[in-house]
Amino acid sequence: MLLFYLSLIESEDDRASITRIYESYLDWMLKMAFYYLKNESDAEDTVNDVFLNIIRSNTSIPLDDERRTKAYLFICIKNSALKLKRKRNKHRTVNLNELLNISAEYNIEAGLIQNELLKFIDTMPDIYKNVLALKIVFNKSAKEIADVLHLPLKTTESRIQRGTSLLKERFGDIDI
Amino acid sequence: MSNIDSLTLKGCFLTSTLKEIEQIEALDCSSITASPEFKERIHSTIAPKPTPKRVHFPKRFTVIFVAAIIVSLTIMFAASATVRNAVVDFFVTVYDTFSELVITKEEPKETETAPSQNDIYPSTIEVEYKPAYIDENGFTQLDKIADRIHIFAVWTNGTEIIDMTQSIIDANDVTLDTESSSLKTATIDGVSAYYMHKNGIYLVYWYEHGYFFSISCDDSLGWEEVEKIVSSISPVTN
Repeated sequence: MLLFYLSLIESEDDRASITRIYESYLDWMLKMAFYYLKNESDAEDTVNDVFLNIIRSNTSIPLDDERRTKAYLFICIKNSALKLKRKRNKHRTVNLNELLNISAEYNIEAGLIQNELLKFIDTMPDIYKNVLALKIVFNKSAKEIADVLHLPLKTTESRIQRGTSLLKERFGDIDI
Repeated sequence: MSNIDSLTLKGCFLTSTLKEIEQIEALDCSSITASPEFKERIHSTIAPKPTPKRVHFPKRFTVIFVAAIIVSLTIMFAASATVRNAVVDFFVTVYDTFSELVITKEEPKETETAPSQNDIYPSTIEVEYKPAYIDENGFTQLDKIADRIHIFAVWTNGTEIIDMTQSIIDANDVTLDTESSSLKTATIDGVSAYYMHKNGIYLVYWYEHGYFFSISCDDSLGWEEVEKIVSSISPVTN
């Protein structure tokens, strides 16, 4: 399987990008994964999965701005780590109120809309936030998002559609 | 109408993500560094290697098989004494990297027999269904969106997520990314279904009670639980 993935890195540019991520962000990626998993071995597996997904998805990674690069990698890591965590902690439960915060009403006043939007995004469930961030910030298509987050395309499309609806329900006609 | 332009939206999503990163970076995880073994593992994944000989598949229409796998609900309900007036078929076409699942409805023919419940194909959602499993296993609704012909709902127990779509039979055409996976058939509690397992998620499609259903859920639940979810579909009572 590894040979299959390697065969997908077709250009020298792509290899250079992956190598740069490896050299500059490997420790940082491990730290992010460790935060969610509290286990070095699981964190390593997650980072390895993220590398494989990035290679396999064959999508360009923003390397021009460190903040954007980190944001992109972070979304990939958080998605993989939480997926693994769900498997590991099958019977653990969390406070649903945290997940359901999205329905909380905010008072929008003129000039505060940006803060309200930020607050809304902060409390958005990760299943919607991750896909929308990749679509909106990095202009990724549903297929690219599905590949890099290792999700079925149909699920990705549903999440984009629902996340967009939530934003529109709250803030009106937003151009996404 | 909102005052949010695409630049503001982009900025807010980026800011929100960076805020999460900053919070984690502020924590003391300085002891977490890549071990030499792990570096070697990643390095072997990304290091340039001689390109292996690639197998060239013909493009899109190299069909592994183009199967009109007819899951005739005539057969499905064969045990019933009622004369079947109409047939609903699933047609599955498998391509290189995706599969297409189309559900078709043959209009009922004129017969002297009154149509049974299973012959009725509503053109709008008349009865809402959901898995009784949801309530019995501590799942709470996270989200729901409904219109005249679809209901999409999401439930979570805090760790796993289940989402379900109920839609009318007409015009259902599902394209599935079946690269490195395949669509399989199963009979769950007497109902014929198609399912696939990919990327940690089970996807199940079936026809029942005059509607088309699809469910996706984390595979951490296990296939037995997925079967329980499917077989527990029942009308929502207020």
